[in-house]
Amino acid sequence: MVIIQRNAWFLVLGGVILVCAFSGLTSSSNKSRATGQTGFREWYQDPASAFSIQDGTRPFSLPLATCCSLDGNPRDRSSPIFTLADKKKFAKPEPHPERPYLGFKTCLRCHTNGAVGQVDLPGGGKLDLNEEQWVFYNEYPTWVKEDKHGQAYTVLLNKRSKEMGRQLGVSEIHRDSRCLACHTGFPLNQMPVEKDGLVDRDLGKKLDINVGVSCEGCHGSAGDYQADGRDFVKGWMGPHQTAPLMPYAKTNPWRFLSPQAKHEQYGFFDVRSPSFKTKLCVSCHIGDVEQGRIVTHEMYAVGHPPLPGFEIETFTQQMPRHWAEFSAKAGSVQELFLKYTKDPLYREQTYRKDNLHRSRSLLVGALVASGEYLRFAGQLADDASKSPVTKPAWPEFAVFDCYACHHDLTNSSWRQTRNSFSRIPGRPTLHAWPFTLAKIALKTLGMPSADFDAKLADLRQAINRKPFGNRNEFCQAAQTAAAWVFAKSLEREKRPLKQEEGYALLTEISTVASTETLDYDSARQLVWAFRIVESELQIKFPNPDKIRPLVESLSKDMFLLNLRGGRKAVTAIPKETGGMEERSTVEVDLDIVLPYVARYQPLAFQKKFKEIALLLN
Amino acid sequence: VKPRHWLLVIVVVSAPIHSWQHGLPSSAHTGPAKGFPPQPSAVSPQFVGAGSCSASACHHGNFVNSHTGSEFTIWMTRDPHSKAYEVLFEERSLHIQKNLHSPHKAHEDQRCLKCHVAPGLDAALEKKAPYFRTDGVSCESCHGPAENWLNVHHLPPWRRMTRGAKKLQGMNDTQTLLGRARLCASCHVGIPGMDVDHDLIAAGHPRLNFEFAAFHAHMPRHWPDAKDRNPNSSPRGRQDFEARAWAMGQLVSAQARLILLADRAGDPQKPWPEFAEYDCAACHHDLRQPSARQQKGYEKRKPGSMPWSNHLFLTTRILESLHDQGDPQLVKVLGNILQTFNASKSNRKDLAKHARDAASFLDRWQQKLDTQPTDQKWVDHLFESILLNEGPTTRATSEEVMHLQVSLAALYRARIDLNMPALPADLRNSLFRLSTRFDLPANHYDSQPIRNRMIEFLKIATKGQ
Repeated sequence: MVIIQRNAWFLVLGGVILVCAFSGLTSSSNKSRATGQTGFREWYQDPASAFSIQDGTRPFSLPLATCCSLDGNPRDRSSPIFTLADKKKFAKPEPHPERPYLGFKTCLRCHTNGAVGQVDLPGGGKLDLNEEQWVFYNEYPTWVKEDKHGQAYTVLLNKRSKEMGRQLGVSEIHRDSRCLACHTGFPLNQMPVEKDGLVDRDLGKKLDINVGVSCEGCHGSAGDYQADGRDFVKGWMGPHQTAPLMPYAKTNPWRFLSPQAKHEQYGFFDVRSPSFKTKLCVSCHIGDVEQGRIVTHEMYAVGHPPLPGFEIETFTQQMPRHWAEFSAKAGSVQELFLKYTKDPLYREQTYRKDNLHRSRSLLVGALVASGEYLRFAGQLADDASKSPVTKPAWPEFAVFDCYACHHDLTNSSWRQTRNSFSRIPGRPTLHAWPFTLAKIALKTLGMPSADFDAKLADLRQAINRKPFGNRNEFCQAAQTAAAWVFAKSLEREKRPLKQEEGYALLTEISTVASTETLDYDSARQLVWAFRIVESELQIKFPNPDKIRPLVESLSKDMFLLNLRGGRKAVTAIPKETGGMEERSTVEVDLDIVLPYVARYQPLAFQKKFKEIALLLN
Repeated sequence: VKPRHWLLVIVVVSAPIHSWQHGLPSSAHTGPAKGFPPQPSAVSPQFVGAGSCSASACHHGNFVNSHTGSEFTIWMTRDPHSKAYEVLFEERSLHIQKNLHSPHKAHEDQRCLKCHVAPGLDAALEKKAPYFRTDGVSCESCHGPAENWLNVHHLPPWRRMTRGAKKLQGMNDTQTLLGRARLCASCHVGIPGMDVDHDLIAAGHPRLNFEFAAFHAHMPRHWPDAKDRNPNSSPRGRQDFEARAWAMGQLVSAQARLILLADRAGDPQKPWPEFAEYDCAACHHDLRQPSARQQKGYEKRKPGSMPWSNHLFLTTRILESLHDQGDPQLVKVLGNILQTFNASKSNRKDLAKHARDAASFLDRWQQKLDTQPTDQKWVDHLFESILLNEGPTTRATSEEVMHLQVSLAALYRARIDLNMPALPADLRNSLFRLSTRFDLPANHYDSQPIRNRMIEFLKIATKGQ
């Protein structure tokens, strides 16, 4: 029996856990039951206590207080965040209001040591990690060592956050639910929130909260829940372990369920679907009113780093991969999956290995981001749309294009000499970047960009009506446009992208980039997109050796993205057992990044892409 | 180098003028006062064109430096007002109209012509005499339409007439500081109907940045300067002219701003929030880290909200210098305005009301300053009260800092005119450093250097008090 002290947690974070013998788990006893105050040590000694699984098919039950280590009740269980009708239209990656968050510790058992040896499964049975090649089984160390999501909570205690708190008049900013909505994977609707939107003082000391955006933040809360006299809500923790018990069988094993069933029945987020995945990411990286994920202009003004324009594939690429792309999995695994899966995107008849999967994802992601941005903006303007945090007063400047106002004043400004203004000058305008790639994506569906412009006509009219737009018209138009774009994103997702289309896509990107006067964020989207498509293209296209250095040189001009390359810092955070522990974080080096935006010159960018466009033809 | 030469850097070339009539909104509580904004009435006299003044025997003499008889010559050759119409053909003007989606060309757009030619030059009048446009801001734009007085204004009986009587015939008061300042401010600050709003600025129009005394000092004189400054030369001559000009400019500009604010906020058809009411540099700055704004903090307003560009904060100092009590009512209303702006949801109706109130209070003070004699002691008192009391405003908007700087420069000049004791060398040098010009990287506007100099200057001036 390996005993690990509570204070060994820091070693875990440091990656030392990699060498900790997990074999201790396999012989764990039932001596100590987990309680509402389950700590790391208790859990570690007795992992089975976290489960009461009977067999692979029967649902298991787990009282909330046990699994999420919370005192008090989750808030407001009576009003589900989304209605069934919404869900049917477009599945949304929101935590189920009642399904409890089990915490990352539950996942460590299997997802730590790599595909080595066997592990016991709760309720009996063993999983042979050697045989099972679907995933790496070392997801946890990859995430904890390198993934910035694991620092999301820690940074709430750094100098910048403290300064933000001071200026906002919140003495303990790390308790503010407006921050926690994004900075931890733990669902906001399961946190006891006191008045002033602050969560319980000791909540942040729980590992499940302070490890930031961990497993269930992106994969969905995994626990079961049953309240008196109410329907049983089943989580995916049990079911997803059944697959290994019956590998590759046809009898409804987890792996071959349709993603929709996994989501609707068990709350498992479909991160294989580009549209679902993008929705999930942008719920923080753009915002989501219903989940309380709103970065306000007030937060920016006191120092929150500006959210960069989002592009799903480029951002995914920057994550330390704790997964293998489908095409990179073992051949036999692929074969079996394609044969039995109910995932419409991966049926044998529709799936082709040489299709441009990432490029398709990029296009789908662009449409979803554009739709989510519109929805977010519309809901902020919409009084009828509720949020678990205090909604900022309208107009909320954060919805509008930062750099439309935030630029030094210059003589002969390129903004004033742009050839076309589709708006009244001097008025705050929407971000341009969510529409740049979306237009291109629509073109691949055979829709000219003028059609998209027409779809946005109402929105533009609402915005032009007065500074910050006519509120009612704006929220109507934004949400209508959002629904339309979402439908298009699903259409784009269903349609595979062939190699030949990849070349056309490169041409289209370079045409847009060389003819339109683009702002910094839009221009960067196009470079990102170009790089993704180009890297996936297997058919020959003209002058690749000349084009590649040109595209790469743009990274010098405009700073593309470097999410993990920031300066290192150390932040002390309080431990549950008392005292502090030091965690290392990666800083957002705004002093390096922001001047790129200021220096950006659209004409120079255009010129470079003119060269690229010429070389491509 | 004259202390205020830096102003040339930011001087707005558009040089407009019109007759801001004597009747400012004395009854501002009941809405826009009659005769304000100035509208040509049905019987208003007509323009006759600068050509009518430029006979060589009248105002078109051969001198470009002396005045009498060469007023037109001086204006034509040296006064930027004469170029006011021409600039409407420049590339910048074309861009502005294009950006505004205007169906008109700039030189035909009434919106432009109201300042770039004359406010009274409405469409009907234009049909009669379109060629007057090409004069730009010429004689009658400031002195008033000459139809009724052209033929009599050189005769002795006319000269004996009061200003009011002349006004009835269409001639504007350009003798008193009040009359002059109102004329200038109507274009250079703006009044309803002649509003350089944020839409126009964003389209490419230079923003207005007016300080009466400095602009006045830079005009090529086509009138006897001694009459303004030398009591021996004219009854209106004042040795502290420069300080009085500054103070009057403050009171009149403040009033024009308030009237404009009342119009912008009060008219539901107008864009609101009107961004031109706010501090430009509050939003218009490249994002930076570390950020001086974040380090400075946001004081009473919500972080990230738009700060009102308060150009009125020196006004109350002037009122205190004219009367022990100052104007508590005005101070209160100005406080209300600031508070309404800082509230999370500024109520434009309330703002309009407060602004109208404040504007009406200023009428009486302008009259008071116009008639009340002042002396060295007054100048000294103003200088000191600004130095000692406005130090904290260095923490406010960058425009307030510039405003403070230009005011100190005017008062400094007045001290010289009055032969008052020289300022200590370190203070003088620091003031000069403030006043020379913005040392900015090419084309970029950055308030930080000027703010730093201001802080340095105030430290010296107040000896760290």
